[in-house]
Amino acid sequence: MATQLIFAIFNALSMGMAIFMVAAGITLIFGLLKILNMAQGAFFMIGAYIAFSLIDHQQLSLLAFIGVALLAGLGVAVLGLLTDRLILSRLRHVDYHYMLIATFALMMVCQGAVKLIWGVNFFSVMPPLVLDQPLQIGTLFLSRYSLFVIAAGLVIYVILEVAIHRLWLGKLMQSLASNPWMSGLLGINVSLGLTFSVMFAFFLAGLAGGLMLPLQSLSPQLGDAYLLYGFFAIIIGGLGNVRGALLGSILLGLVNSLNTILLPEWPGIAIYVVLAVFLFFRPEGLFPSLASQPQSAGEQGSSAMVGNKAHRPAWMVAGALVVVLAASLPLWANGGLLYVAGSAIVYGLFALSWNILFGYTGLASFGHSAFFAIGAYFTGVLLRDWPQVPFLLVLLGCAVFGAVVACLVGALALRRLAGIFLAVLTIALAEVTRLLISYSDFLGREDGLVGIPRPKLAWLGFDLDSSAAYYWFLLAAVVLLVAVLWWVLHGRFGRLLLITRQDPERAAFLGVNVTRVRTASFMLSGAVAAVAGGLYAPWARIVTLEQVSFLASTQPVLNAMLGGVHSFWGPMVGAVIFAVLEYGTRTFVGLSEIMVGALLLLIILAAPNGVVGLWRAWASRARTYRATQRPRETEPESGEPLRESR
Amino acid sequence: MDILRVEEVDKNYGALEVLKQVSLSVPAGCIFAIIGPNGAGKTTLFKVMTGESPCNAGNVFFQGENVTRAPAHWRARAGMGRTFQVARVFNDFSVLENVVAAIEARRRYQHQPAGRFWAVEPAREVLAEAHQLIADIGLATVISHAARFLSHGDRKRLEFVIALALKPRVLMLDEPTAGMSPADRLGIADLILRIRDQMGVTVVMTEHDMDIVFRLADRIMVLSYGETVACGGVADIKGNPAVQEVYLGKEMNHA
Repeated sequence: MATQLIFAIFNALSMGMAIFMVAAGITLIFGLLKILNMAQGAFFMIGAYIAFSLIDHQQLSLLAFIGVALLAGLGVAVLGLLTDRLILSRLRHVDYHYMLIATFALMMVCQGAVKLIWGVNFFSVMPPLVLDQPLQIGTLFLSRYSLFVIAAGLVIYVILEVAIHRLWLGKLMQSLASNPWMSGLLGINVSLGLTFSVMFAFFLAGLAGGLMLPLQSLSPQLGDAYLLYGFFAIIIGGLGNVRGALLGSILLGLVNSLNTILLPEWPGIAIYVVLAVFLFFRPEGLFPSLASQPQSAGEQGSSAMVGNKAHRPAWMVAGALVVVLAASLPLWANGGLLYVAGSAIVYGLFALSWNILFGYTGLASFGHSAFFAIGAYFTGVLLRDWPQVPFLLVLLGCAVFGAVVACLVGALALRRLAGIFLAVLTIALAEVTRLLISYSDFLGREDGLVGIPRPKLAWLGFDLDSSAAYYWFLLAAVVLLVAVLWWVLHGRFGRLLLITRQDPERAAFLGVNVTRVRTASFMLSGAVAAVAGGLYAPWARIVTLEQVSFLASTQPVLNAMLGGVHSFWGPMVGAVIFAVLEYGTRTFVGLSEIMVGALLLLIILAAPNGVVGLWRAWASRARTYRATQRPRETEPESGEPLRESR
Repeated sequence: MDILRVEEVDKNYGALEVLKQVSLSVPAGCIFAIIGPNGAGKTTLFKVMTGESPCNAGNVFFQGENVTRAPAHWRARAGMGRTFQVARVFNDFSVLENVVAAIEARRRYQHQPAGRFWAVEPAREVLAEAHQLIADIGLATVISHAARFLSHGDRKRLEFVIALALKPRVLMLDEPTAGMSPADRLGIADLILRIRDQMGVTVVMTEHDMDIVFRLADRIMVLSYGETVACGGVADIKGNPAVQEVYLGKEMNHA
């Protein structure tokens, strides 16, 4: 028993230190830039791949191994330099959500790049010579390599503590973290300092990747688990401080170690439970720091989404034309195109659901695929095993299911620091959903649900078995839902959401219960996303775990950003444009992640208001031009540039 | 009756004691000014009263109810309106939309009708109320301008309208004339008097400009290093040697 206990604690420590090495980098960047770097896990993975390429199946001596890890760290630090110059430095003065989305996009690009360069196969690497054999203490066999990882984690911790609190570099970083503007006045080169600090955090990620390479098999998914655990560790420990990250990491290691002993058939679940409990009872973490004080969002929004009515008839005609065109598709398009069109409609609705949260309420979800998957699996199971349940009732069930899950997540995440907690918790939700599905036989485990039948609308006498029939149903359902949402978001409820987005504190002093409004918005968003999933399942006739992947969660973000988040119609427009792009480039298999990620980055950097934003800017310029040509006829109002039509 | 009462409030940021056993009571219908040099704890006291940050000890009573632990939106619903030192309005909205949003917020928690729930446009009575408020304060000419394009003085006025749209019992003003031109200051001072006299709203304000304070206030409280130095009518404060000491320092030959 004692041996078992020691062994469990040993495992816990070694996993905890591994998590800490990733968490330390995340917490440093959070302290400096006040953002969570979603790409930290990806850069950890790249560090591991660089080390793998350097080692190349040899077994090295310990010193050479450490040297390789340091080289991997330097390589990643150079990537950090590029990242900072090309992306982060350009986004320092906009709403932090754009930076979050940018790092998320960067993560996609990294994963795609790794797949292209190193392939999708698993690799493994031998530990260095001295560390290969286990260490025997009495009857106890401990892996020397794990001991080495624990020691390395401790050394990194000590170096960080000393560097941050004692050395010039750390003091520089602290001054930049607390007030960059003031630091600039005091003669510090802020831009250079931030770049240098970001490089240091990236260096840590790469170093960790190199050091822990022999601990696991190398695959493009390597970064995901570490990223999540790293986030959890710093949330539990308290955002933005190294000591909290260390304790949080060790705690997670212990929980996971106990999980394997007590609940061997459900690996990895306990960590999420502990996280939920922690967020509920101590949302500020073990060591709350000033860095985690809530900040008001920047002034990124450029339009209030309350357009004037002058152009409404024209737009209604245009909208009707689009619907007629879409409805005529089954009559002339081939099967492939029809499938793409149907999917685009569903993804448009999905993107719209995401934008209820982002564009209207000012909160970003990075695991929205969870809601989509909940709806898709719910519908898939019911259609396959209980076909007698009316389909419309199933869709209603999807909405309720999605809203309830959103309510639970919201209750945990929206109490404090809403934006950042929601970002992490939604990722966690997607991951938990994926885990639970992969453990459940009736959900098809890793294989997914196949052969989902199309529904019949018995009491209306419709059989939706053919693609054309279901497509028309899909179109009608989405048009109806979008109309309802338009109504909801342009009325009183929409104005309520918009004032909480613009200034939550001011809204609170107008008697608005901000937490409740945000939860309501999240529930609406979750319900609509789940219905989108429910509509999708019989259309594709197959639902797999891919629907819960990071890539799937990026889809609505991308579509909404592409079309324009400051417009009701933006997400739909984006979904259509993206579908056209995808249809045009469907032969380039494997590039999808790089393409999606790079496109997203490009939009954020070049046109943060999306296609609709570009259109409005163009229309406004054209009008100003006309007005200056004929100055006597119309007097341009100063408030005019913001009050565009949609 | 005292509409707002603070009892023995302590507040510290770490080892720094910002408020030490501060007490005050504001009678209904008066203009109450809190003054004191920089760092005296005015803004902190203000934050404690509005619920922006919690105090370490002591109690805040609003209309007889203990609101020490009540969140901001709860106090707003109970009738406490406020403005910020730097005016905070909804920048993406026009002046009219700002006011409409505030009126709708009030009608929501007061369970008053605010139009059919499926209506996209604000209800007619809401619009009428908004136009009335905007005209009263003199913002009618910029009613359709986006708030972000307003001048400093107009933003400040718009914030007043938003706060008044709640029909508050007490209006909390954090340095209402900070950073304004002398003409604008007088305009704001008149506005505050009008709010009190015509609407019967109690006003609590912090302010640096002594002219404004002596012109408006019925009662003045002087804070220094987190402690109450004096509290009373204008005449009491003007002649009080302790207050002069706080502002001018001790006379050297006196010691």
